[in-house]
Amino acid sequence: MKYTNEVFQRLSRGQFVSSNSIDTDTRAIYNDIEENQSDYEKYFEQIDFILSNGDGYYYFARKEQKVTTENKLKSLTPWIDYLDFLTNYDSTFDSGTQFTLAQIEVRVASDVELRDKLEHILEDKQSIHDKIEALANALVSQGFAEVINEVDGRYQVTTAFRYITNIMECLNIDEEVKDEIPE
Amino acid sequence: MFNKRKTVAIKYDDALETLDNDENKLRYLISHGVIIQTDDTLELDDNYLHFFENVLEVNEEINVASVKQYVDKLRLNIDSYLAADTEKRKGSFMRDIRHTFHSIAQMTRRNIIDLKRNMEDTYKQEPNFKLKKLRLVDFDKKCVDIAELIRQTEKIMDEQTIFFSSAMDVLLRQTISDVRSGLRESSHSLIDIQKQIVDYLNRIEYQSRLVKKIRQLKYLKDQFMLEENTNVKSVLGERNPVWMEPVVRFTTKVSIDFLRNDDAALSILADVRRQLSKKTLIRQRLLGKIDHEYLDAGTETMRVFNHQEIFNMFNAQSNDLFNFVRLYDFKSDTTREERLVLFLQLASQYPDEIRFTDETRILQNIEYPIILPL
Repeated sequence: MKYTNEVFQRLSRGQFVSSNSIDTDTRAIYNDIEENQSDYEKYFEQIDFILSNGDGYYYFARKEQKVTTENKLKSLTPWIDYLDFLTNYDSTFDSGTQFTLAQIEVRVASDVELRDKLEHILEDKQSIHDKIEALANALVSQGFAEVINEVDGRYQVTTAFRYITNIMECLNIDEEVKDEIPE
Repeated sequence: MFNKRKTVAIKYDDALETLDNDENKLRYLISHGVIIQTDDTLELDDNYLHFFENVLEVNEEINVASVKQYVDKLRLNIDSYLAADTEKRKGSFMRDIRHTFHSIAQMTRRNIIDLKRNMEDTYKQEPNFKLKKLRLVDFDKKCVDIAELIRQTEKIMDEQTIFFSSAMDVLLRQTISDVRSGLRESSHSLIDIQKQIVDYLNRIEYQSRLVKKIRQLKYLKDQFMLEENTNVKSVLGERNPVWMEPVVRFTTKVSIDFLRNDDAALSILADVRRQLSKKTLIRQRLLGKIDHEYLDAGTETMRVFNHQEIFNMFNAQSNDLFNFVRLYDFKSDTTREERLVLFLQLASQYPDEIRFTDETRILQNIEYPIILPL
């Protein structure tokens, strides 16, 4: 347990630690947690944090609910829009995917459907560029992507991205409604 | 022309330009069937196309049929060798057999390399989901075919014992052992490829399922049906991840001891000082001067009874409290009201140390109880 301080600093703010991070520090932290997982779990349990993990990422959760389900829903719903846009941009958008702001911008400029989707998200931003940038920032601040190169705006998706897609997979749609949804 | 074989047919005039407008060259190529002309466009002949692809090792088609041909040819040659009567003819068949063995090993290896490259390319570059899946499934089938050919070749080597025992050829033995190890290598990488294909297919399956799910969820969300028609509430109810909580900021104060004793504190203090460096800013933070009036010490005289002293005096005599207070000789003038208040104060202040009687008397218009010392 060499990184209790770093783990707390990152995870208590709601961030994720991913195994495929481009940052060597983050990878070291991930590996240390992986090696001493039960120690870390016990350590943070004492201050009411549950160290949880998925396929290649760690995050903090709690035993009891601190936020109402309505508020949780409010934090989740934007991600439905974001994922809808991102998977429309690249159907294989997943951990390890690299993208640049310029690439997305070019696609949006030539794809009406994509542009339409983008127009309805992040409505406080006006231009296409600002919206795409805000989307990338949302990914980064949540720990779902990392900046590889600031100059050409290149990003890489982290393994923590699976967390949000996992939640989407867990959602079951009522059978009778499923038939009503157009393809 | 070869570079663009997949995409466009070359226009006659463009081709002419690249050949320095030497129409004879182009005519020559066309007349010899290297290039086929249809109307105004030119295409490479299929044979040459395959030749180039083979030589440059860039062919995209995995040709299983050619390997099969080699196997058949091998069988025929072996049978012919056994049937041949003269040494000379046997020798020529033997050479053929060796070449064929070599070719089979080489073809198989080449096919596997092509297969691997094409599989990777298809997975990474093919934008169309359905096409990608179809092609990968096809590659998987080719894997099975190649594996079958390897098996058949090995079977020939194992079964044709009569041939191998009768033909005691050193070169042949060398070839056979080369081919065997080559084929083993090939079948190993084939297994790898098959694993990879299955993995890719699973990933595609997962991704297409996910994309579909997200579209459906998005539709429901836009129709405000998400909460009603999915189990989103119960899923979220089960989870309490910290990222869904509002961001908490911990504001911890700096330890005074640390600031006083630690050298590292100097830099912190310097930082703070730098932030406050503008003097106007500090002045703005100061309060105005305190008025001198507030600082002057004024005096005010108040007259206060010493209750304890008076009570002690009362205890030392025998008169009742009311009359004691009424008649007490204070050092300064004391009005009747003040004495009356004092009487009430004393009576309520020391109730346990005095004796209340039931008797009351009236003096002028005041009715008072008789209170005696204990």
